[in-house]
Formats: sequence, C-alpha cells, structure tokens
Amino acid sequence: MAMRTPTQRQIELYLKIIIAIAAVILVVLCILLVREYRHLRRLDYIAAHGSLFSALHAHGPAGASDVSSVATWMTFDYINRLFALPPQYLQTTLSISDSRYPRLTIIEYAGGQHIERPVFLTQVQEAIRAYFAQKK
Amino acid sequence: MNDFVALLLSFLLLYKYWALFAVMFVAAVILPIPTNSVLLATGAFASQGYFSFSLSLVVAVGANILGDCFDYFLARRYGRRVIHILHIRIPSYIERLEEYVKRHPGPTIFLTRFVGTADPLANVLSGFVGISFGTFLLYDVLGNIVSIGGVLYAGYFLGIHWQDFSTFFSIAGWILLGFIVIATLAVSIWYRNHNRKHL
Repeated sequence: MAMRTPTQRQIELYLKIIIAIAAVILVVLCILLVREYRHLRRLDYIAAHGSLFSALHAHGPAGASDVSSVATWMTFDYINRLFALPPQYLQTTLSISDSRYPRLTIIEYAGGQHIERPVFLTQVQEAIRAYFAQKK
Repeated sequence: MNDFVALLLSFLLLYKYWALFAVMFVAAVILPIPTNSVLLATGAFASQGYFSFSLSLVVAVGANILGDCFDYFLARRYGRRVIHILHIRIPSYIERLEEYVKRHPGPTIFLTRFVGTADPLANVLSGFVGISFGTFLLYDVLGNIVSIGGVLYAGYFLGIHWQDFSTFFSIAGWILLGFIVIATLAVSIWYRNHNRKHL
C-alpha cells in the first residue's frame, strides 16, 4: 500500500471538513424544508383541497380564493386571463384612463396616478372579489 | 419577492418571448440573474394559457445555448491572448480546474447547467482549454434541455401557486445539490483510498 504524502493527507482532511460542513448545512435546510411544508399545509387552498398534491393539480381559471395572489408586478391583461375577467371590467370598475391598458402593470398605473401601490393593489383585489360575488 | 425579480416578471408579462430570450441570454453570458424564478413563473404562465409551454422551452433553451456559445468562443478566441497581454499569472487552483475540465468535459458541462453561477465559468474554461465545439455543444444542449425543461415543468405543475411553493422547491433543490456534493466528495475519498491500497 502506497504511503500518503503530507499534501495528500491535507487534501483528504480538507475534503472531510467540506463534507462535514455540507452535512450541517443539509440538516439546517431539511429543518427549513419541514417548516416551509408545515406553513404550506396551513394555507387555505391546501385545506380546501385536502392535500398538497390535489391543490397543485387544481388548474383552470383562478377563483375568488386566489385573489390574494394578485401582485403589483402583474399586468391587467394577465390578471384578466388569470381570473377569466371580461377585458374591460377592471378598466371600467377602477376608471383606468391610461391608453396602454391592458398592457400595463399595476405598479406603472399606480405610479402614474400617484396612488400608493398597496392601496391600488387592494382596490384591484376588491374589484375582482366583487366580480365573483356578483357572478354567484 | 424582491424588487428585481418583480421587475423581471413585469418585463416578462409585457414583452413575453422577447423578454424570456433576453433574460436567458444575458444570464448565460455573465450576469447573475435569478433565471429559476423567471422560468418557474413562465411555466406557471403557460399553465394559465398566457404562454405556450413548448415555445417557451425552445426560446429559453435556444437563448441559453447562444449565450453559452458566446462565452465559449470568446474564451477560445481571445482567452490566452488577453492573459498573455495583461501578464496575468494563472493561479494553481485554476490550472487544476482546467485539467479537470480537460479530463471530464461532458459531466462538467452537463452538471454546471444546473448551477446558474457556475454556468458561465464552465463555458469560459471549456473555450480556454480548447474542448472541441462538438463536445461542448452536445453536453450544453442536453444539460440545458433537462435543467430548463425541469424548472419550466415545475412552474407549469405549480400553476397559480408557484409563488407560494417556490421557496419550498428552492430549498428542496439546494438539499438535492447538497446530497450530490457530499456523495461526490465521499466517492472521491473512497476512490483515492481504494487506489492507494492497490498500488
């Protein structure tokens, strides 16, 4: 059996240290994964569908329970497609006068109208909820 | 979600496939852009009918391959000349990396497609050490199809809930990478000990 040189012993030591550090990081990541999974289990749509897998498979137009997923980076035409809204519904309901509608993000419109983003986002979400409420 | 990712997603919704191409190309060339978030979102948009899944896959893979080839040819054509003109002394660990890439070009190129930050480095090293273009392209195409296709499909599968589940799948991805790193290092140590016993 060949003797190990000091350099080879050093390299092997470094490899073992890297493995030990990687193992510790893995344990921490596993704990974070379990916490994230528990957080996801508490979310409403998972409770409604009974399991994570079923909730993920529930594709199709979004409904009233998905309104909270609307974000300021979204464009109005994407929101219309996502919730299967009539193309002019949000423009009429929110009195949007920008000619770029619907190829316009919530951030852009709120900025142009000097409205605070969270305030306008809430107005958009309320408009979508009102649409589903009147559909019932 | 941070502001930069939000900006990228707005860009993606406004300019669709052009934006997807631009983001993937620039990320492949050098900039550390969070392409996994963009791909996850694109897959989700495809599940909602806003994008075509197959066209998104072609555009994203095509843009990434073009970016990778750009780095490869730049390094192959000018790499050694720049180092010579600037009198740069190549550190020994880079020389060892070069040797490793020469001996194992396929796995190196394929696996670095899954690690965004290592992707441009592997492209530059491949060009620098003179890996044949055919070999580089083969593993680059395979790696990109698998890595990009995987993330796109994950977004498609997650649908509207991709934002809520993206953290979960990011952590799972890092855990998988950690297992691969530990397994590779452990096999490396075992292999070195095994070789020494038989000398």
